[in-house]
Amino acid sequence: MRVAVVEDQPLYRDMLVGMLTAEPGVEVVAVAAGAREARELITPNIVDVALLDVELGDGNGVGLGVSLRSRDPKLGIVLLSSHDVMTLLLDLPVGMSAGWSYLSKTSSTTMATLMHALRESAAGGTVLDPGLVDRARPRAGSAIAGLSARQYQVVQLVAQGLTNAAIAERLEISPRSVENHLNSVYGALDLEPNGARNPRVATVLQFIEESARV
Amino acid sequence: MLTTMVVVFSIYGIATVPQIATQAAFSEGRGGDIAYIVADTGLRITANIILLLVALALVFLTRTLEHRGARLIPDLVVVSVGSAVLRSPLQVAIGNYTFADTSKVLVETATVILVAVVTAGAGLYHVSVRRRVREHERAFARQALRASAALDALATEELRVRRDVAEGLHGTVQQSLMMLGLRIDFRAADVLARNKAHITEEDLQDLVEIRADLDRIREIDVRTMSQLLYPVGLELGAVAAVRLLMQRLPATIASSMTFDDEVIAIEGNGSTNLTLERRLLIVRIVEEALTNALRHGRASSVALALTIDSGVLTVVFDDDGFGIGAVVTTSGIARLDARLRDFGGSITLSADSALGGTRVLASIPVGEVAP
Repeated sequence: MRVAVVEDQPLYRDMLVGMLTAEPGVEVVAVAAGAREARELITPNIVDVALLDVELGDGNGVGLGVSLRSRDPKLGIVLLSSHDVMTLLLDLPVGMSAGWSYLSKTSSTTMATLMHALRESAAGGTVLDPGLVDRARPRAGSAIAGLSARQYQVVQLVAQGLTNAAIAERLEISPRSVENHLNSVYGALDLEPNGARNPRVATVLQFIEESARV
Repeated sequence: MLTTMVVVFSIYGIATVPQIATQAAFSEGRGGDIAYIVADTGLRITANIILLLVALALVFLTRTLEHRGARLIPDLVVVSVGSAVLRSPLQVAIGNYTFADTSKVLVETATVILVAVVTAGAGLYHVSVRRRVREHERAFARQALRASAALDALATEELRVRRDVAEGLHGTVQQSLMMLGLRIDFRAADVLARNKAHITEEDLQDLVEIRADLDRIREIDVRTMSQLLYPVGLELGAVAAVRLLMQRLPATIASSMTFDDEVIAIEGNGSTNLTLERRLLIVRIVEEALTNALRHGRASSVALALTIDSGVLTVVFDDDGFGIGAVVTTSGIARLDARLRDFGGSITLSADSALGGTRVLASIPVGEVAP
């Protein structure tokens, strides 16, 4: 997996590059300190996933991610921020929402979480910071609030980027039941699968939109 | 200035028409002859128009309009005496008087001098008043411009300081508190391992509480203060900052948000095309509306919409709270309104909420910004 790292704090950047380089199967192919440098270095088809700090000295990771993605539609993006700015994923241009993940610098993000997010984003999936997802509460009056407790748990785990098998293991239920729960979630959220959108990503976006985080 | 002079002299001219007509009617004992009266009046008016032109020519020759103060007095004398003296031969030439009417000519001349002095004086006074008013206006405009520039510089500087302090709180202070928490954890584990016998249940409970307090201060208090100083996400665009604000609404309150495409194009997805001050004002509007809905209106449902139309960004925030029966205009709204007016915008409260409570309607011109 070819990874690009964009982070303006030198120490944090070096630590990320060092840790990623030590991971088997990971190759850090581009390292930038700011948005402008990143636009020059990250040319189409040389990177599978870009790890972008949201707060950059000369711009921000979201704007950078959007411009990189419009040049390279298969590029995965993992945003890293010290604030909970998950809602940034809600306004992404039409057709660009898959393959974006969001991790917090201040919650209990681990190297395993980071690797998971990088792999999932590279494959077009979405992973949200587990700490922030746990703190989220469904907003009154929303479709998410209408889900059963079990369905909400499944949605939370989908938001953390878990596969059906992993969710089944976590909840100690059968993969078949996870599938059933998910189908009823899609029904309740009016997200019946169609060719144009990934219902998992759509579920995650709706979860972000219709939850409160305190 | 020229216009003023012509107007003043013309008013004088028109005002003298009845006098001239009366004069004509009763002169030479031909009171009943209408044709004569009309012809004579026309003649006399012609004489006065020529006089007016002479007076104006003298005004130009003496450059009266460029002079001020004491220098105007000789000008005035030249114009009035000149036109009066010239008038008499004119009157004689067109046959109004004969040379024999010496006393008449003298009286006429004196009268015209007087009238010309008064008229020109009135005109000049008017001109000088207008000039002073214009100078005042210009000075006032210059001062307003300077004040507004100073205010802008102050606002920018204030924002910079606020951002620095907020970042310090969010970064340094929070990290220090986190490290302090970890030190307590390690120390507690250490003490517990060595002196387990001497530690009471109460000691432990106390430690757990101190630890929880520290976490609360770090997570809630410091973050809240940081947000008050400088809203999170302001660097990421107004849409991000507003979404972050709304996301913190208690989960028990239903909310909906819509941003039109132009707003997203200008201030969404990491774009920041508006100035920092305008962006901050947009966030403050939503903050104020939220405060109003929750604190004063006790709303359970809110709806926010941001649109841009003809270069004006409009924020509509509806709630289902008590409505403005409870609170007419809060001091917060009034302060924000004053600030918005500096930018040509405004904020108002009304009972027009689509949700049945209060509607906060605010606008701020953003000009023609290209995304």
